[in-house]
Amino acid sequence: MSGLLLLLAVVAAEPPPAPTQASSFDEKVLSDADQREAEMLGYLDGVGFLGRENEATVEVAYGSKQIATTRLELAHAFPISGKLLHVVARVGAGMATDFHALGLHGFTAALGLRHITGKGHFFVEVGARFLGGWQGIHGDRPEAQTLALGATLTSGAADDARWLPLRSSGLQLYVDFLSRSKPMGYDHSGFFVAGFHYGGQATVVPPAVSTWLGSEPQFVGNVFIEAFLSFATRQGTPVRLTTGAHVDLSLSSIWPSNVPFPVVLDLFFEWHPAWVSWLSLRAFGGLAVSLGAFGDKIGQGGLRLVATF
Amino acid sequence: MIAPFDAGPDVVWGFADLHAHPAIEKAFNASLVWGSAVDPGPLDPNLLPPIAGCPVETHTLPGVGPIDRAIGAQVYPNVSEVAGFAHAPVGSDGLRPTSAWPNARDVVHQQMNVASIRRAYEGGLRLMFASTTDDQVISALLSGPNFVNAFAPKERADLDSARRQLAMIAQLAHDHAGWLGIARSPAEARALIRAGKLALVLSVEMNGLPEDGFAELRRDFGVQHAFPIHLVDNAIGGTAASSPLFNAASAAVSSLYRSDGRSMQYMDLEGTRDFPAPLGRPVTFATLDPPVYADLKDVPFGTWQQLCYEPLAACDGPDAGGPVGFTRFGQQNLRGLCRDRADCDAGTARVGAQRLQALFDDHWLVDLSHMSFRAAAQTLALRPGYPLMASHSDIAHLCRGAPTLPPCVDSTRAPLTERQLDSEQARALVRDDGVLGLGTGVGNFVTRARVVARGAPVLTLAPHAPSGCVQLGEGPGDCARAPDFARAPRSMELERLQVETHGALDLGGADARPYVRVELRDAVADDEFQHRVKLVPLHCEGGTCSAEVELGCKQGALAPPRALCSVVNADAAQCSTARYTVADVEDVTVQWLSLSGAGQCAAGFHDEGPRWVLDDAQVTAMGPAGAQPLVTLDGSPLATLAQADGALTLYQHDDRPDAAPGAPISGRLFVASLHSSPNGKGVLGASPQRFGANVCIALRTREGGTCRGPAALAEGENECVGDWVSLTQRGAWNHGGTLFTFLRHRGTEEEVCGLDVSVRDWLPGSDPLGIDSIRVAAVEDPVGHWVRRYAEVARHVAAGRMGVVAMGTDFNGLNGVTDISELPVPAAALLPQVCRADAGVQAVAPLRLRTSGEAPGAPVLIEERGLATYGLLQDFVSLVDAYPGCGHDVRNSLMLSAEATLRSWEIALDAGARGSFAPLPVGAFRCDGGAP
Repeated sequence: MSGLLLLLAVVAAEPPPAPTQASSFDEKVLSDADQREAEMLGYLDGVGFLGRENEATVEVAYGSKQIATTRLELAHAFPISGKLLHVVARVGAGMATDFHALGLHGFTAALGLRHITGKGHFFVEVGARFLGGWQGIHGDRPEAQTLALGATLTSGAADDARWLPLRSSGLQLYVDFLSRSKPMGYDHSGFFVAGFHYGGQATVVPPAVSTWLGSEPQFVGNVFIEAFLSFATRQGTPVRLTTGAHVDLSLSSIWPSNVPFPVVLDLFFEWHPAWVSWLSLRAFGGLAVSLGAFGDKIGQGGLRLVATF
Repeated sequence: MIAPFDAGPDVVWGFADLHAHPAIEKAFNASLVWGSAVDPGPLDPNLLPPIAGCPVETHTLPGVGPIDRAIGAQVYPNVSEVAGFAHAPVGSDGLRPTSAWPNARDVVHQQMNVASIRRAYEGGLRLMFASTTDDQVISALLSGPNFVNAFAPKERADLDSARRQLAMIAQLAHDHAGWLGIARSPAEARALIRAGKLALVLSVEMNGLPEDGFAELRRDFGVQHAFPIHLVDNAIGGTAASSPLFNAASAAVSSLYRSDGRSMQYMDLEGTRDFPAPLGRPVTFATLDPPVYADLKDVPFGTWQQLCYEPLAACDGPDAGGPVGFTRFGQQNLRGLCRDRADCDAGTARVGAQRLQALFDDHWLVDLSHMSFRAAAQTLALRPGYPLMASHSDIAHLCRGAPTLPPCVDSTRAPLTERQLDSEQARALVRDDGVLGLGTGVGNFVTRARVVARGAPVLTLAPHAPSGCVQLGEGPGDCARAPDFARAPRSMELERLQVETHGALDLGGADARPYVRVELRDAVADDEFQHRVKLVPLHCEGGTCSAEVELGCKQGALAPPRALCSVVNADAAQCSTARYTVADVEDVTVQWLSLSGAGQCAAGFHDEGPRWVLDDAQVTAMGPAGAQPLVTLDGSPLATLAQADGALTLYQHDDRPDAAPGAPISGRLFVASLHSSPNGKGVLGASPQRFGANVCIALRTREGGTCRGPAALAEGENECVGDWVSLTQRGAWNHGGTLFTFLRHRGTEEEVCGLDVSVRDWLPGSDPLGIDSIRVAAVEDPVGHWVRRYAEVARHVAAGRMGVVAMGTDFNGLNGVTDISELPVPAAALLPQVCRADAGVQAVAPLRLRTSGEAPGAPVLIEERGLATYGLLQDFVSLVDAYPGCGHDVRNSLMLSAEATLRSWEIALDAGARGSFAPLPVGAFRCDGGAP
């Protein structure tokens, strides 16, 4: 099935327009049909599309390790006049708790360049993400590391930069791609698209992870990929439901030898209400495990609310 | 300050350390030894700068990934166990015990900070041979995944590593030019020392260098001292056969050095009585699942058989399963200065001799340490009269060839491996004006067993029941019983041994049989190795297994076979007139023997195999005078022999408290050794996610006739306080690993009756810990042993000439250094040993750890941590001087060792210099005072 989706996405995705005298990043006047498509499916493209220059994300998650995570991220896209380009600034912070060792972690700030094609079939965002040096409460104790790993596995994204207690700041480079097909289907039945969302981040300036053994400069990074199907309409009525699978793998070097490479495998279901076009609600859930400790897998799930306006 | 011995004008007064590794942090891809020798703070020789917090699972930061950590989690504990020490989380950031670092037995953390070198210099060090080292097998193992498939030995690996280390030493000398300098000639060294500086002589101790490697290093760095052979057989010749690990390393690089270029070729051994037999079934590298890690596994039976290391006839052929007897001889490397067996047998090998002659022609200081016996003999014969060096060795067969008056005393009490220089070779070296460095390694002391308990396991601890104990005889508490091993007198003559066990036995379909293995010492000299081995199958009926082992005649000295796999038994003419006695019984072991397949002749099984639950066992000595129990063991169950745990030793000679009569043991210092079950998981040590379990031990003592344990650790107490001592310092304790530590007792030796073990800070859900053996022994003062040994060597090798024996500490050499001192440095004895030519003498104070605040740091004491850091050499020399009887002679001789070494060097440059020196004094070196 995933192979079929991949084939569909590859076949159906509209590549960025071939360069002409004008840059492919130049804004273009869309045809009416393309404009309708963009408006119908623009919920997939996030901040910077269709004039929506602000984004707020709130997510909560909980897992069988009895760890709860929550995270807030705000983003603003600054348009570059005449271009399909935005400079995007993001700030975020999160909190994880095992109900014993509360930790406030994950202050991040990012600055990137985001390009979305005119019809929204493709976007790419590249940038740098600053990891704030904040070791949280009890950051120099083993419980903080255990909590960080647990939060990574629970949160639905193996982005451990959000959760690690850091004694000094670091810098990551990140890249985020989305590639989707053109709408498929029929007017009388409905239209859907298939696509992939993938990317990752990696340190270029290693932060010093706080451990009880001392500060340890470490590589912090992860990669993810999502495959999705999004149903835009059904029998002419906007539906705007997306479902898919998300796989997220941490490559960070901090994790000990018995629990290396935390990986999250989630299914998700996302609703973008037509009557609140700037809102998106995702429910996700699945398994998370460290690749070296298959016997110790956990179940986790959560909700993510994204407002793009 | 102690006045210099009046040895004449222009005589350098100060000691020489002929072997140390100040740049070890650059070796092994800079991934093995943690902590830098360089500290940015002001240099105070009485304050030891802390090292950065050790990440434990890696010694490389920034970290390179979980694979790096997985490899580190295997490698560092294994390397640390060489010295019986766990790889503890050490460093400066609090939340960890400072007693873990520095420690004499901590081989994977820095021991030679520059401040420490300075303190040794204040203590009289004037000449240091600063050496490089490496092993490309270990370096490759630490450098990344898929080692097994990706490792290809590189000809220049050792040379490149030596260059990095030499560059660091040169930088150190440059940065501390006020008191350090590199000497490229003895004249330069004398000038440096006269100027009040420490003279460094650059040295290379590498496994193998390309043909022009030595010349390149001399040209680029001024290296003067060389080890032609180190831990592996190389193109020059054979290494001493002493370590199973380096047999595997030798095989891994054999394609580089053999004339036939074959890979994975293990050492070729021949039989001898002069050395023991340390090499068993070799190991090879294998992938571990997931296929990114390297592991060690036994070589296939066929390979083992072809190597001919021991007679395997017991498991071979249609007669397998019957009683077998054979003689077990010692091992030495067949290779001298030749590249492989064919070369050696043909006698036409010239490469090794040619390369050595080239070194002599260029007036190198050439070192015999690490050479095989044959290689050392052939090197000595190559250029008679040329002064050689043996920088860090003990002396084997000390009393062979020694004058009979005064009577020769050899305190080693057992044959030493080929790694130690033969005494006749040592005398030849000294006659040619060479110098010796007496090693200060771990474990150099005599012990007297007090409590020994074995089982499979003897104790099982778990997070819900983390404490246990063993004790002699009955007493309060639910302790495992340690047997009395001295029931039969040592002098009792023997005809046979009767072995009986009770318990359930299940062969499980394996082609295996239970055996009893008895090893007896034949009628040979104390420093020789020749053992008679009897393998007798046990006859089992119901739950009882029994065997009678007929001992037969006591063999006299037999000619060792070249092929160690030959089955040699004495004929009637070769029997001695005496019978075997209890004192000759070295070992009685019950074991499974697999008779076929991949595990043939092995006692353990990797898969499901036989299972033998022993409830109890008894060995009875039977002789002309009757029968006496040798040992009775009862554990109910005593042992479960299954999988990797396939053997149980019922009795060993060293278990007896009367095994070391006359040893200078005060009975106030004890060593406790514990061995974890190979079938278990051991104890997880520290990591970023856990503090690591803390294994605490304490002596049980007899009070009013009752054997009692110490005050229990309070609930929630995670440190080893009061009478408790930490065995693991929160480091990992691998399954099948042996750790030891020291404990003190203020009363009499006989009061010690057992040992308590308690695992603290143990994570719930952790796997249980099985402990298969516990041994508590009274121990001779290791510093005192070194002093007496020095005196013996000075008397019986150097004819009492002072200065000929220097120190060969091998600090940072992954071996560990003198474990501990029984005694503290006497008050007011900590004095600078040398007056400096400049304005003042550095005030000497007890060494402390430097802290960032005002409060003084923890003391670093030799009586707590051993020779834990180079700066404690000052304390060591002060202790030596205070030793009753021969202490002054030893100390004065040490203080003339720099002079003797410089003279040796001058003769190497110009043979005509011989005879131009006024003789150095002769000392009595009489250590008649016994234990202090």
